[in-house]
This record gives sequence, C-alpha cells and structure tokens, in this order.
Amino acid sequence: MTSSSPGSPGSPAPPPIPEPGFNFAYLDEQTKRAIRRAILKGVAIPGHQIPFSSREMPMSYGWGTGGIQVTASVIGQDDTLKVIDQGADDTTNAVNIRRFFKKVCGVATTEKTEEATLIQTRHRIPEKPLKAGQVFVYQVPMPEPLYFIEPSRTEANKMHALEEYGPMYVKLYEDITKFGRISLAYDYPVMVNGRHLMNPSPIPRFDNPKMDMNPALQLFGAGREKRIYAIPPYTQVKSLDFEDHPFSVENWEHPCEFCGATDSYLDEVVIDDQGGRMWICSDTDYCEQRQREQSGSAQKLG
Amino acid sequence: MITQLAGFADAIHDAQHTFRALLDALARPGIPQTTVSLTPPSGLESSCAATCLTLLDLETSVWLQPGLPADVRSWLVFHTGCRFTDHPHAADFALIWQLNNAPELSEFSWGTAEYPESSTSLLIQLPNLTGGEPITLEGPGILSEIEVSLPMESAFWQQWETMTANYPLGLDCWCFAQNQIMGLPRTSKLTASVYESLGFTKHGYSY
Repeated sequence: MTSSSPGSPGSPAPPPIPEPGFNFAYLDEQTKRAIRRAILKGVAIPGHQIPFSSREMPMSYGWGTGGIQVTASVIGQDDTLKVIDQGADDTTNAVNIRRFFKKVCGVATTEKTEEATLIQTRHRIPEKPLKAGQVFVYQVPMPEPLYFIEPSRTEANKMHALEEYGPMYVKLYEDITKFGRISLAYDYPVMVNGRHLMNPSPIPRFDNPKMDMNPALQLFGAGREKRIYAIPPYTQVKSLDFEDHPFSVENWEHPCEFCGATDSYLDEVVIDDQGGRMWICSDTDYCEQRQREQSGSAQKLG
Repeated sequence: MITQLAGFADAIHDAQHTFRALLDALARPGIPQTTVSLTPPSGLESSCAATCLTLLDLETSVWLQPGLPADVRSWLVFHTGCRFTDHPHAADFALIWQLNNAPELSEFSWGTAEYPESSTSLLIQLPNLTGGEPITLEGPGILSEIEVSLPMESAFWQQWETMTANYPLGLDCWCFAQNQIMGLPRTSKLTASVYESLGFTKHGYSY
C-alpha cells in the first residue's frame, strides 16, 4: 500500500487467529490468480466489465459473493477490513461477511472508515471521504447497464464496443416525459473515463458524485453475473443527464435525528405502529462518530 | 526442464503482496511500487520474477523475447506451469528484456472491440526506472499529470501514442528494475506538450 498504515493508538484490536482447514482468504491460489488477472484488466480499462469464472462461495448468490471473491483476492495479512451493508456496520450481511474474513484470514477489522485499508460495501459509499491507498469493493447484483434495454449479452457487448449508448439516454428521456424528471433513485448509470457506460451498483444517486475523481481504488464484483470491473483513483465518473435536466442528488428537509447531520444520506425508520417515524443517517459509523464528538464537546463545556 | 531455484518463500502471502504492488502500479501510473524479494534465475529481475509467479499459471500463454537464458524458461515452467508461444500476438503475457530489440507495440495483441481485455500484457525489464527523457503522462490514476523518466527511446513513446489513440484497445505494461515496479496502463497518454516536444504530430502515424 502506498499510504501510511492507518490505525490510532488503542484500536483496532489485535487480529484473531485464522481458522485451520482453509486456505488464506478461503479461495484457492489458482482461483485468486484468475480473479487477480481480471481485476488488473479492469483497472486498465475503467468501467469495462471483465468476465471471470465466479466460484461457489459459502453463501448464496445475491449475498455479495462477487464482492467477497474480489475482497478475498485482494486482502492481505496487513489489511484492516471494514464491511458495510446499506451504510451500516451492524446489519446481517455486514456482520456475516466481516466474521467470514476474520475466520479465514485472521485480519484486523474496524468500523471506522478512516482506519480501514480495505472496505467492502453493499449499496453505499461512506460519508467520510475515502483516502488514497484505500481499496473499496462493491457488491454488484447487475453489472450490465444495458440489460433492461438489451437482454442479450452478445448484443450489449457490441453496443459497448460501438459506444452505442443512445438507448440509455432514450430511457432516461422517457422518465422525463412521464414524470418530469429522471426518476432513478439508485444504480444510476454513469460514464467512466468518458468512454464506458457503467452501473455503479445499487448505491443511491446521492453517492454518485463521490465516485468522481475519488482518490481510492474502486473495484466491483458481480458473483452471479460473473463480471468484474473497476474505477482507478482520480478517474472521471459522470452521471448521465441532459443539459436542461442536469443530474441532482436527493436532499432532506430535516437533519439526522441522532447526530444532526445535514450532509448525509438519511434512512426513514418506522418506530411504532402509530405512524411514527424518524430520519437517521444511513452511515452508522459517521453518525456514531458525530454523536461521540458532540457528547465529548458537551462534557468539555459542562 | 529442471530448475534448482526456489520460488516465493511464502507462496500465498508473497503472491498477495506482489499482486497489491502490481495493482497499485497500474492504478497509480508513474509511481514506483516495491515487491517482495526472491532469488530469480539469471536473466530475470527480482520484481519481474515475483510478477511471473503471481500472474502466470497453466491458463496463460507467455511469449519470451529471444535471448533469455534457458534457465528462465525452466524456472517458469516448474513454478507456474505456463504455456509458451512463439507469436507475440498470441501471448497473454510478453516478457521483454531488451526493449530496443523488441517487436513494435502493434505486433502484440491489442484485444478486440468487444473484448479489449484479451490483449497482451507486457512485462518489460529495464536497467532502471529512471534516467530517460522525462515524459509527462495523464489519464485515470493520475491526478492532473505525472512526470516519468523511464529509459525508453522516443520511438517507443511514438508507438505508445498511436496505440492510446485506439483506446479501449491497447497494451498494459509493467516496467521492472530490481525490486521496483512501475505500471503503464493503456489509459496513460502523453500530454500534448510532450508529444509536440518530441516532434510528434497527434495520431499521425501508421505502421
């Protein structure tokens, strides 16, 4: 890694011992080599999907097997891993995947975005900006942005080769004629390096601008669909739009009800059966760090 | 086909470490990365040998630039099981130890329009990663631009310029010297001021 190793005194905890009976990071070395070659090609052609021979993993397709295979091929003993699911470190998918890698690699894990060298994500980009040297792995259900326009992969490959992206603009334009705006809320298509149309995985459109010129390396793994792709650091990523209907992100009328943040992506949470609900940060690490800072500064004032 | 030399001291973690160096090299063109050291057969740089052990296996075909000691071939076969080809355009990886005598870039496979990833990756051994004419590169992985002074002749950069005009077709290179790696993906382009100063006109070349 080019960056200095993160980690502040006191954390993270010492790494656990890996479980015997598995190769390091679960995959056999032959599989890792094939996936590594695909990742390298992906980095060389930003946004272009590279086919790979996706393996059976000890969890079902659709639970992040693509991301897990990419992570398993990249991860090393010195890495500090963070796993998030919809922004949260403590939901089922995130906890399972984190426990899996602890078991088969014995690596250190963290919930803090800034301490991680390797982050696997399902459907969010953390609020805290990623740093140079970090590797950010997305779990991707559907890598092909043209799939709902052209279900044949052979034809879609031709369209990518010819840069024939007009039908995607037509699809977005149909939204405008129907709803007066582009109604896609997640998996909003982007143009990478001015050449390849790419699905950013189902992150909210709120996160799309974070991909542009990001200092971290972004890798995408689709297990069921057997595709890997990548965005190198400092690469242009543009969300598709029209001159008279420019791209815009969601905003909320209220701040987070836990930490008061006005700049983060908010989840609506139902809290009772009387129609009560609250709006809280989807990024649990960001929200907790803000709450801790606030209680810390309140104590100092007191 | 017998080799006396060992490969990685730790096959799993040394390969992982080398892969990360290759990944960082390609993701940040122009910034040198360091690999683990091992005892390579004579004719291979330590970083190039580590790369071969990391990327090659029975699924890959390799073109060796003629003139490498026979030891290299037996070492690669023993440790990786890779296949060899005599045709540069049929190779997944091409190992070059004398860049000046190597085939032109157009003789390697640039991939196809639908599968640009089916191109040859060049593993280029150099005496050093510095000491050549400074060249400024731009493209993904590079924040604005970066200057490199790889010891390559201007003819190489001329061919490179022609190649990058065919993006997404093209070649990806790793340059090796001792235990250092520098990546040169097909997305790295010469900046306008550079190709003018080298006396090139943009995209004005054909083979």
